[in-house]
Amino acid sequence: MRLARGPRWASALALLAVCVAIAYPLTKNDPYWYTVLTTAVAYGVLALSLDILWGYTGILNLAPVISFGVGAYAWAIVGSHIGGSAGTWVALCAAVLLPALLSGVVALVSFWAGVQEIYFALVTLAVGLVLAQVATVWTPVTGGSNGYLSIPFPTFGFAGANVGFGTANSFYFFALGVALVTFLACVWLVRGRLGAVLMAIRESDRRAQTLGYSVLRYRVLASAISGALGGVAGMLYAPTTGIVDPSVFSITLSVQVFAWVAVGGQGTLLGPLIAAVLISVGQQTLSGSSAIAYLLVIAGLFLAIVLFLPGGLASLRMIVKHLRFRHILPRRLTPRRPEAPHGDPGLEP
Amino acid sequence: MNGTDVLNLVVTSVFTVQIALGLTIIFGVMRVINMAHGDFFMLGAFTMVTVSNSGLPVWVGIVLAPIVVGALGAAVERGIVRRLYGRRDLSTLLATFALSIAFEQLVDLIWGPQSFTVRAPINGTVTVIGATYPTYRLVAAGVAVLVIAAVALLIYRTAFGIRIRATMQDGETAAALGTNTHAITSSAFGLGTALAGLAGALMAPFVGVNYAMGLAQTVQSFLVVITGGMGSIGGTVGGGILIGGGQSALSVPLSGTVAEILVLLLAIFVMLLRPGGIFSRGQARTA
Repeated sequence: MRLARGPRWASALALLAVCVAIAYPLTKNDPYWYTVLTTAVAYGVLALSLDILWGYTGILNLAPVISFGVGAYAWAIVGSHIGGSAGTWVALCAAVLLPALLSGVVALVSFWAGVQEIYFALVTLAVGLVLAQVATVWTPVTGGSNGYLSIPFPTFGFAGANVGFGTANSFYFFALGVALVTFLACVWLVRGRLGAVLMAIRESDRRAQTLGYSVLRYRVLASAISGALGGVAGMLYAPTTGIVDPSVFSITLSVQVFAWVAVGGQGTLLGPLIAAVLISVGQQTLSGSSAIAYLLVIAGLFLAIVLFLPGGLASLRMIVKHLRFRHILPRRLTPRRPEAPHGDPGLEP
Repeated sequence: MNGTDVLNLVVTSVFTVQIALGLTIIFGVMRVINMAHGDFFMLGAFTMVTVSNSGLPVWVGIVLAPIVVGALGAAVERGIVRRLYGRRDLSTLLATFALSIAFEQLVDLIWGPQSFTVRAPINGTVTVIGATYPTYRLVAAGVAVLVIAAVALLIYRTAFGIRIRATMQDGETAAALGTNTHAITSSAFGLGTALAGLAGALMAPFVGVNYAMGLAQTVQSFLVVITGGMGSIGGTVGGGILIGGGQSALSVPLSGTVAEILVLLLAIFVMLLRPGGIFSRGQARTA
């Protein structure tokens, strides 16, 4: 099965990168590397969450960290209050359903009120800031700005035996399994009818509406799915770092999620996943001024992609194609989304 | 609420209006959501820090900041934002989002993460409405009021202002009637960012100056512009007084964080119920 559009060599290269990433901690057997890679895997799932929403449905949620943060807090708070196997299941449900519900409600209220594009982006930004402030002041529940500690690892009871993932090593494999299942579920979703409708809405919501699809319903559905994915990412993140503090709602993290998806190529799933894993491994292993410089380079790369490669790095192959036929670098690649003829007259120079 | 609180409220409102006015001009003329607006404010404050550290008189920084920041803003419009006008997928928003992080990391790299203080050019206090208050803050707020008035005159009483307003209403027709809309867009971006930069320089002596200070201003300005109605200058003044003053007033009986939550919730409800701004009668959205 081909997991992504694009040339086979790109998929093969990506697969190789994933294999190296999986195998690397095995050669080291160092908890530090397991922690770094588990965090990277959690960020990979977070990139999938934004890709479903932004890449496939064309909804710009400026705070993709909302569901991530809510998922992380839900897992930490619910899981530490109810222990054991039952606690794992309840916390898992909370970490997935709460962000899904929140994202769905925000989308439902906004789109139902006719709020779109810029306004929806700003509503999500404001919701993210409200959550960060609530997490800061609601100290009895969230631990305030010091963060929530004592986060449980998942344990599952099977016929009397308890399967726990209580160490950095075992939780890494748990996270890998969850990420793989999540990724395959996303691929299955976007390859099916739902994916086709979401992409139709991205290309032209009016056309999709005219064809009889409830744009509102599908946008809310896409937001809820994206929220659930973000919740899964938060649930994987919380036990790995062992602390959840208001910085899970930070705008800097939001920009990074956009950078991962843009670098990997929005609307490709595999690209954002790999970009998130690789970029965030770099981010975590650097410190001090080199970490700042690294983030600066990532921001510059993101900016360059928005300017010159609207399809992400994956669309570089279009340049290769153009080169083959035109022998010159095209000044600007045509965006994958064609301009709507009824477009805003704006200030087209 | 005592006299000091009232004066704080006035000073906060004035600067909130000034920063948001820059964002309104940029949005109104170019329909560009400038996510890096607060970072231009931050760069204005750092211009002040640099001037102050190099031993020059502090007021030189106040003069220099709007020039440096405005020139940078015009350059950003030419180099980045202009390339994205034709696209409908909110690319400008994403590009300025990336730019915002780039500015912050660059400043963090050069100046470091610590907070800087700048000496005020005027020392001493005055007693107004029963409160002893630093003279410089009142002078700075006075300068800001004069600048806001000058910008309003520029936009409503000069030929340049007519061209700006014409481009705001309908860029294509303005261009057809002989306005160089390219020059207008980059000077409007420069003017908008210069307002933020000047506010940063004026406020530097009484706020903590650090690389992350811009974000709060970006958000605050958006709240003002949303509440006042996007692209409306009168609405921005009203929205700035409501948001800046409201947050300042609420943080006296409540905590600053709770005040911020309430103001954010107000802005969310305004966006949902009155997308044209709180002073509108439910008019059509501009974007």
